[in-house]
Amino acid sequence: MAVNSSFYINDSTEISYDNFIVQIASGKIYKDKSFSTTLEFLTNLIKGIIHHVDLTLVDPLIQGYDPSEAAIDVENLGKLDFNSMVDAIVNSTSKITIFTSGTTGQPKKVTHSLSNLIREVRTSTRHRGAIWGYAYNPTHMAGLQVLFQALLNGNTLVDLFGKSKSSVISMLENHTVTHLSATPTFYRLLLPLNRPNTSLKSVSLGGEKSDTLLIENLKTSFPNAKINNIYASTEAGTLFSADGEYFYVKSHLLEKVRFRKSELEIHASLLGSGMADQEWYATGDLVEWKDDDKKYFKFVSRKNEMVNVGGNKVNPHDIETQLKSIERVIDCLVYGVPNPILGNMICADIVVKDSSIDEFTIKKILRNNLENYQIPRKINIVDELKTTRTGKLKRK
Amino acid sequence: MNLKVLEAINEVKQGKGEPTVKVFNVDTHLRDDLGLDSFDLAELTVRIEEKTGVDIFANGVIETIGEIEKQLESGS
Repeated sequence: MAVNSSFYINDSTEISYDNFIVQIASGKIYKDKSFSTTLEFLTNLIKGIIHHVDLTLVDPLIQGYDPSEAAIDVENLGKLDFNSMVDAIVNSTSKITIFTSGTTGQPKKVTHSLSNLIREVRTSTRHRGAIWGYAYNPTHMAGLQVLFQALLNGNTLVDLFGKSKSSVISMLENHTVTHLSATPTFYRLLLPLNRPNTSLKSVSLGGEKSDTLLIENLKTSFPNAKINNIYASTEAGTLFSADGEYFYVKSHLLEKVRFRKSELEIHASLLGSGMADQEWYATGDLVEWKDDDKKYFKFVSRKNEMVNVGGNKVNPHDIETQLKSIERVIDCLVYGVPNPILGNMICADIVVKDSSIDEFTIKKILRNNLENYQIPRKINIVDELKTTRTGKLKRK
Repeated sequence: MNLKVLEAINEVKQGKGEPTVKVFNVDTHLRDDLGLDSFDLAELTVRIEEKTGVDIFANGVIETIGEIEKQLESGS
């Protein structure tokens, strides 16, 4: 089938499918290692998958994880072409372990079979020729979803992860990117554009709740694009998509999702291993039905108090535990404040024994035990906690 | 050079355990020159608003010191 000539492009490198396929046929595979470039990571990942090696995807940001970095040599698969690479990926027995954003202090591991990871990937002639803006962290679920959607259709990935606004805009234009999938935070940082981008045909949002203003801005900036909302999670991968705020339960998922007291629950068969042992997994996401036929719904809020910071879920209780373990901190309250860049920004009010400890010392201590996105960006030293305060300082 | 802006930037830098900056000019790029990521930019906007009463993000994304100063001039 006709595939694009390039597999991957970033500001300094471009690699063709022919070249990539030669590289993954043989050589060393690292089962758990953090890589300095996305291309090295992708090469190791796909090489591992077609050789049926189980892999743990290490994000350099994960603390307290010590990858062994031991390399294993694998047999040369000989002359591969695009179709045989796709067959090898689809039939791989590899188990892929990824990390959730830490909801209980340390990030949790979830292991997926490859078939689970590519469950929602669609391949057809309709998907040929796409050029994807690759905006997600490649070691996380959303990044894997985009990777497989692109790779299995012979599409090109243009790496935008961590790039500044001006380079994202010029790469979208220079490489005539047609498909883009990213978090609402990514789009809020990108818009408004100086001039509309007419090459984008599909713009998807996922990972956080989006809002109607953002959707309107996307329509103006990308006038030729279909705007999609995607619901996916580290635990289950992609589940639903929608072209507005209402999601539709597809027939093959009817038996595998259910709603209890408006909360979305997912059947264990859709989940990676390492999750809870119950038959149904409660997501904590609350939904509202459009009408009585129970097919269309929208997400309204989270059941618990998790704060979404730029797509990372933060549990305020975890941070309070860390703060309270600091000597001279008497009491504290951690909460999210709505923020146009991150969706929410983590803030803390603390009561201290004496003034000999300041905001910067506390942040320094927190850096030892928390991820960057979990650390309160503003720490206010107060006389007493105003727990009854409403409005933006109130934690939901 | 707006000292309140300098102070706010250095509070962000100190919070990350990074050395403070002494000088900048209108062309100084927040991400490329000062190494501020999206978390830092979010914090910076809050700190500048506390010091000046101006939401520098109100009219869109800010990338350089010059853009901050322009927002402060038009907002105050």
